[in-house]
Amino acid sequence: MNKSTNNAGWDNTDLQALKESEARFRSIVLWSPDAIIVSDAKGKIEYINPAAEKFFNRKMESFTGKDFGLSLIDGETTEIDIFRPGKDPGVGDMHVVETEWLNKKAHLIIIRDITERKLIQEALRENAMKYRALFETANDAILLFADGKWDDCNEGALKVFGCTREQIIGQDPTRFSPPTQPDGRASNEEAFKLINLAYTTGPQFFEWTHCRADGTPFAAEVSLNRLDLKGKPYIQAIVRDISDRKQAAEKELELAKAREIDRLKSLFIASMSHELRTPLNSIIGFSGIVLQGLAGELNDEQKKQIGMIKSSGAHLLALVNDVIDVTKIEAEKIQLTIEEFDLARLVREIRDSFAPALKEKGLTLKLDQPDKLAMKSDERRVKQIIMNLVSNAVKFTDKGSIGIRVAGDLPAGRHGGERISIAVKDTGMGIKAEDMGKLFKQFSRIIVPGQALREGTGLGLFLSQKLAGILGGKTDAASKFEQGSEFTLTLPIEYKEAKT
Amino acid sequence: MAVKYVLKLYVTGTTLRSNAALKNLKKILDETYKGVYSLKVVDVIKQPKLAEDDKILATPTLIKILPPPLARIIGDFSNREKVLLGLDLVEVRGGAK
Repeated sequence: MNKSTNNAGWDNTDLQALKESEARFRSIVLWSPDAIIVSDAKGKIEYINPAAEKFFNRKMESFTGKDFGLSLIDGETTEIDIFRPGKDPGVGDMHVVETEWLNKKAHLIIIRDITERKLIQEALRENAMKYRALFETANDAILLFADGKWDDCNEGALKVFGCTREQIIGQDPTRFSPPTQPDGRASNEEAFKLINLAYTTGPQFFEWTHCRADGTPFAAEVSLNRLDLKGKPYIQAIVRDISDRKQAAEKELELAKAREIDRLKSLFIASMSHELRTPLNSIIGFSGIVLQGLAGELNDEQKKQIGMIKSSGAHLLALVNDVIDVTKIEAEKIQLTIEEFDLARLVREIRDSFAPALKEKGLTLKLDQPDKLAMKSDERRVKQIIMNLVSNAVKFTDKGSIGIRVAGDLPAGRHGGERISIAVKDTGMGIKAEDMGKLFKQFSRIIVPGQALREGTGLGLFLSQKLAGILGGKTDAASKFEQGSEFTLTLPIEYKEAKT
Repeated sequence: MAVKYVLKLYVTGTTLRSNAALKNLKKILDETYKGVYSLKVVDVIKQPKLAEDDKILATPTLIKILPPPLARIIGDFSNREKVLLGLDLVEVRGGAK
């Protein structure tokens, strides 16, 4: 025997070869970029390589004796999360082979670090989701067009065209267009032209009449852009439904027209009223002078007739004045003069001014109010409203009395409070319940059969109501037919500019 | 019916892997041990101390605490046979008493 043997009976050359072989395989394991773990058949760790130490971020010692867990994967790979204390979790691709280790059944577990790859994949997936969400949540219809057909579309397209995705994808570009555009051009020729331009020269923007799946046409703004995805040219079409906007614009135009007509009407009435007032002043003025007999004695018949001219003239003037007020209110041109005044004094003056009329009709007027009552408002307008209420009461009452009660919203004897009410009560003909709604309407007159129509313009209460509103208050009516009515004006003691 | 099977599943956050493993496992358990198992799910991100105590290295890891012996398996639990074998459980169809 030439060969030397050692005491274990191994041939030295064999031993050398074995050592070399062992070193080779050891270095494969040591230098392997993949984590290598050997566990026994139950999952207890027998060996780990340096790559595993690095990947798991743990020292060799912390593995020994640990239970890795029985790997269920045999021959296939699965992704696992690596728990690394003090470091973000890693992701590994695990491959398990049943093998033998020191003559026992064992598992060879090879784990490739795919943490980076996963992070990138995750980021890409998130990005894709983000853009998909942007695409899907857009209100506009966004469609992709390729090879002469619609290739993809978003949720917005389903809403805009009123159909399902399946009804869009694979269709011709003019499936959702009427045969012709409003100017008479054929939709398909025109669309073909525009798509070609988008392919060859650049983005196209235009208005287009589309139609929904049920054929309803609608106005749209369309933009066409060329996109190249994976070397294939696509056209991205963005279709914005502008029918609402168009309708709104039309409505706005109509409204503006109506407003202009209204303004012209008010202007016409205002100037007409002025033109009417001038000659009326002459009629009233000169009939007054004639009545005074300065230009010569009049006989009774002449006095009566000229008196009628004068009172008719006065009535017409009152009517014209009311019309001017209404016009001003409608044109929102009422100008207020706000100052402090004594309401009690104002009411006394009003009562006095009605004395002749009351006397003529044989009516009494009771006044119930404090001696002084300061308020801040537009005195002329307040007077106008109260005059109107009292004059109505006198006009519609043939016997009995009229009562005016002025009170603040605090119990008698106390000052302050916020609102003041002026109630005018009569014992006149009253108003039927069904007629109450007409009271504050413009030019509405309540006609009672068997009763003569009372003099008036039909504007008085309408005006009173409007003026009270402008002063921050209101007028209310309560009435019992054939027993009398009560009209109440409520106003803030101190006028405050309405907040707009 | 008393709880007979006590299991603990370690996962990492709510990754697709974690969710898939939990879904697979629940399906197997509900088919086999409905009403008699208790499964506790532990997220290693939220409870690293617990994971460390249980010497968790990777997830999804399932630990069978009861009945003995203690067993742990790692994977996606997509293979029912392997899961039951790995946990040292004799398959009982139609529920266990």
